[in-house]
Amino acid sequence: MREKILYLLGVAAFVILARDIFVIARFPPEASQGNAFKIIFFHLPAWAAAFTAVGASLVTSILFLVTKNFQYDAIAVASTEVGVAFLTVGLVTGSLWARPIWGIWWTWDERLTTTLVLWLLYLGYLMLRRAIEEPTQRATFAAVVSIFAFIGVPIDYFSIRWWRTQHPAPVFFSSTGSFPHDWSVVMGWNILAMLMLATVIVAVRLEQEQSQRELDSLRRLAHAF
Amino acid sequence: MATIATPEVTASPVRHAGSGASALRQVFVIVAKDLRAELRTKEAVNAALAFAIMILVLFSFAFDPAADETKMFAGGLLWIVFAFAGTLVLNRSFARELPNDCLDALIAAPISGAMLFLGKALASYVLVMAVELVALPVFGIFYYVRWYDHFWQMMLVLALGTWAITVVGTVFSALTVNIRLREVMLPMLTYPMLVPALMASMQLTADLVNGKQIWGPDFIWMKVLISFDILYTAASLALVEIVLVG
Amino acid sequence: MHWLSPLLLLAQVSADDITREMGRLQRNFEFLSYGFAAAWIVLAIYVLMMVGRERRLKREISSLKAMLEERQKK
Repeated sequence: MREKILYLLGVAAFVILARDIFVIARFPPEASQGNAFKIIFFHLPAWAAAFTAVGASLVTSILFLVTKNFQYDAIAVASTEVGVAFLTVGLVTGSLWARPIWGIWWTWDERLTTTLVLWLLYLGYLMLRRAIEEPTQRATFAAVVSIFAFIGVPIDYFSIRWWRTQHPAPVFFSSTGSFPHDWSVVMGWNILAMLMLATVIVAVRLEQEQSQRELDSLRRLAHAF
Repeated sequence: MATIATPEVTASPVRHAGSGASALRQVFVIVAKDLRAELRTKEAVNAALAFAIMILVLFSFAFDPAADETKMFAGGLLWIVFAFAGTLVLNRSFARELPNDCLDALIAAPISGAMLFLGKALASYVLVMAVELVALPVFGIFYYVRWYDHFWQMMLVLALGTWAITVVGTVFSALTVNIRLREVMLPMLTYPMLVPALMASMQLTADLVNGKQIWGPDFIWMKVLISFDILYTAASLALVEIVLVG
Repeated sequence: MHWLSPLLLLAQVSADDITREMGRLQRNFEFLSYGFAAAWIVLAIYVLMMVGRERRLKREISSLKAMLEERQKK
C-alpha cells in the first residue's frame, strides 16, 4: 500500500513537472530578462523543497535527541541528503540563470552565498556520519550538527545581505512587478510537484536507511558466530 | 608526550554542580588544568604560532603587501590566519585528553558537561588569544598596517571574534575527538559555521586598520558578532552534555 | 524641430534594437533549456546513486542472510 502511494506520488510529480515545461516554454519571454527568467520555475521550487527537507531534518534531529528513537535519525539523514541534492539543483540552476543575465556564472549575492554555505554545512553533516561507526554516537552527533547548522541560517542570510549591500550587487526579482497570475499558478504547481518528488525520494531513502540498519544487525550477528 | 592526569578534578571535594560559586570553581579547575598541561609542552601554541606566521609570509607572495588595496582586505587576511591557527589549538583541546583515557575520567568526574565545556573553551580561548596577540604585531609589521590606532576597539573585536571561533571550535573538537579523520572533520564543520562571525570580524578589523571607528555605520557588524557569540554559546551549553555523555 | 529629434533617434535605433533583442531572447531560451536540463540531470544522478546503493544493500543483505542460514544448518 505504502509503496503504491509513493509510486503514484512520484509519477504525479513527474507528470506535473513535465507538463509544466511545455506550459512554461509557451509563456511570453519576460520583459527584461527574456526566457532565462523562466529558470525560476525550477529554481524556486528546488529551493523550497531543499529548505523543507532541511527544516524536517532539524525537527527530526531535535526529536531524536529527545526520544532517542532511531526512526527520527533515519528521517533526519534521509531528508538532509535529499536537501543537499535539491540545494545542488538550486545552485546549478541559479548559476545557469546568472550567466545570461549578468554575464557571470556566479555572484556572491546573499541567497546564492547562503545556499552555498548551507550546502557546505550539510555536506559536513553527511561526511561526519560517514566517519562515525557507532550508531548511537553517529545519530547523536549528527543531530547536534544539524541543529547547529540550522540556527546559523538566519544569521548567515542577514549578514551576507549586509555584507554585499555595501557593494553594488545584482538583484533578483528586479522585475517582480511583472509576475502575472498564470505564472504564479504554474509556479504553485511546480513547487507542489517538487515537494512531492522530494517526499518520495526521502521515503525511498528512508527505506534504504532501514535496510542499512538491518544489514548492520546482520553483520553483528555474523560476527557473533 | 605524556599527558597529565586530572587529579584536581577527580579529587575535588565538590560533588555536584550546585551553587554558582562551586560551578565557577569547577570551570576554573578545568581552565587551570588545561593551561598547565599546555604550558608544559607548548606544542599546540608553538605549532599555531609558527603556522600563523608562515601563512602571513605566504600571503605576501599572493599580492603586494605595500599596495594601498592591501589595507582593504587586511582584515579578511588576518581573520583567515586566526581561524586557521585557532583550529590547530582547538584540535588539541579534547585530543589532548585521549591518551591514558583522561577524557573518560573527565566525563566521569563530578562536574557537569556544561562546566567542563566552559573550562575547556576558556582555556583554549586564552591560548588562541595569546597566539593572536603575537601574530597581530607581526602582521602589522609585514603588511605596513597601523592596527593600534584604536587599540581598545581592536582588542574588543579580537576578543569577541576569538570567542566565536573558540566556542564553535570547542564543541566540534569534543564532537570529532573520537572519530576517524578528526583533523579534516574539525575545519570542515567549523569554517562554514563560522561564516557570519568571521565576516563581522573581518569587516570591523578592516574598518579599524583603515582608521575608522567601529561605532560608525558598521556597528551592525558588532551586533552580528555579539549575537553570534550569545546564540552559539547558549546552544553549545545546552547541547554539550549530549555530545560528551551521549 | 527640437521636439522631434528624440523620436527620430528612436526610429533610427529601434530596428537594430529589435533584431538584437530577438537574438538575446533566443540565446536566453538556450539558457532556459540548460537550466531545466541541469535540474533534471542533478536529480537523475542522485536517483541513480540511490539505485546503486539500493542494489548494494540488497546484495549484501541477501548474501549475509544466506551465510547465516548456512551456519545455522551446521
